[in-house]
Amino acid sequence: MNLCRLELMKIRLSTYLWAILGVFASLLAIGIMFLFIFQMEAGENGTSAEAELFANWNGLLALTTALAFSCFSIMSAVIASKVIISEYCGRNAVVLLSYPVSRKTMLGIKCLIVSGITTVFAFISNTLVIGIMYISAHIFEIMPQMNTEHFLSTVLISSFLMGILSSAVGIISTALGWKKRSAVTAIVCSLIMVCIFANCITVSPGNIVWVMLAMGVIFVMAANIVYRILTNGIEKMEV
Amino acid sequence: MQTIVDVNSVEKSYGFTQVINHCSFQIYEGEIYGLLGINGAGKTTLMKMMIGLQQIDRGSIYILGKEVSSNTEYLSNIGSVIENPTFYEHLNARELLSMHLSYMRKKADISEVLHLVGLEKADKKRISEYSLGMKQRLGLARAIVHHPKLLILDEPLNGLDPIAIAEMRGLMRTLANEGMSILLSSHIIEEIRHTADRIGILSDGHIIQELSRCFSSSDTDRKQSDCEFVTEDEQKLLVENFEDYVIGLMRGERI
Repeated sequence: MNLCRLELMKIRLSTYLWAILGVFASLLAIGIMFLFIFQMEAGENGTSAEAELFANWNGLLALTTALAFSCFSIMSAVIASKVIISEYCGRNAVVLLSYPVSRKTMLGIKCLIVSGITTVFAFISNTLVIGIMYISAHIFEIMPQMNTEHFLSTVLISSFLMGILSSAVGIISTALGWKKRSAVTAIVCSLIMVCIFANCITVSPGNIVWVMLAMGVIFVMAANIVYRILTNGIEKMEV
Repeated sequence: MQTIVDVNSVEKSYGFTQVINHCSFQIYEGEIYGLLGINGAGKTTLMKMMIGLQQIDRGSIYILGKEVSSNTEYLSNIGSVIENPTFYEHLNARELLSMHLSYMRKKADISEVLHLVGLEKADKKRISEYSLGMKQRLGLARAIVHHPKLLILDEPLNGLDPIAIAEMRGLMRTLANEGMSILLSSHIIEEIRHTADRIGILSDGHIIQELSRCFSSSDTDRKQSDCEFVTEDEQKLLVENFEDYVIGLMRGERI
């Protein structure tokens, strides 16, 4: 815990909290816009095929979660590039590696901080966005049909899995960025991964939890392998 | 006197370039050891190997009787300023030193150290607002705040004004008198000559000669030293032509 506190002292957490707040506000705005898209599309020409995704809560949840996954994956890569790449590849490495703390432990703490911040805030943000969308739908009486019995648990589980997925993307792209000694590489890697994998979340909105669970297992395994490679690299690195 | 650092036939290569080649020397308790060499002689590499930042290809380094290896515990007894010190600039000096102490798992009076390096009035100021000289002082404060037994300073007087240099020399002497061993590197002969008790001249990757305070420019230092191994004339000649002598050694000339 003490090491965690010390590592948090090194970064200006408030900067990231403001960024997370910005992401949350944007996601909320887009989410509410999704609600109105359904109303407009259905009102003018009947329900189009594209608007089907906005026609029920499962579709809306999938869309919002995919967007949140994109934003928080990039956010995770940005935090990781500051906490890990800048530290080990910059001039601070001389000080960092001269502390009587094992390199493996230090890296573990840093990854824990990145994953922790990403997972917690991604979960809170997505749950709040869906919650506020639900309330707005009631207020404006534009609520699409609720066709799932366990919607609340679906939201909670998918939001949590989305947080895990985002932090895994952050760790994977950080390892790739570390290989090139570049924070920009890490962020670009996360962008590429997001472009490819965000679509998978919306493949089957009715089975979003299972889709995300499968993705989560694969991503966590990949992140674990990459983390081990990163640990070996940092343990042997010379400054 | 206790041996604090024992470097034994250390070797280090970068690709096909051998930077350190069978380098051996010792540093004793309370001694200021000056490492003198031209740019690229391997001074920084040698210092980095001592704190585990560079791996040792062959040979061994013992610090306080423990071999430098993957074990990091010995690092709590070392303070270092390698290259230009870097900081987390959004913190102030007090926060930075407090964080450093926590990492080193030690407790100390931060105010005392800040007073020692002359930063007591700027302790609440953000480090980003510090001048180069203040950052050098803060680097030194960070290196000594946890009361290490060995202090490694890589060209610590860079960027300091003449008054600060004199103060820093005084501080190093005080620390050495309190029992701290100091390894100091520089490529400026006079800087080392004024400060070190013993000077190791690093050339071709190893110590080609060690010089004692017999050749100091200060009369007091020379009188205090045990200079019986040289005649008065030899000593006088070397004191007067010290710089030429050292340059000659670094060039590989035997005078």
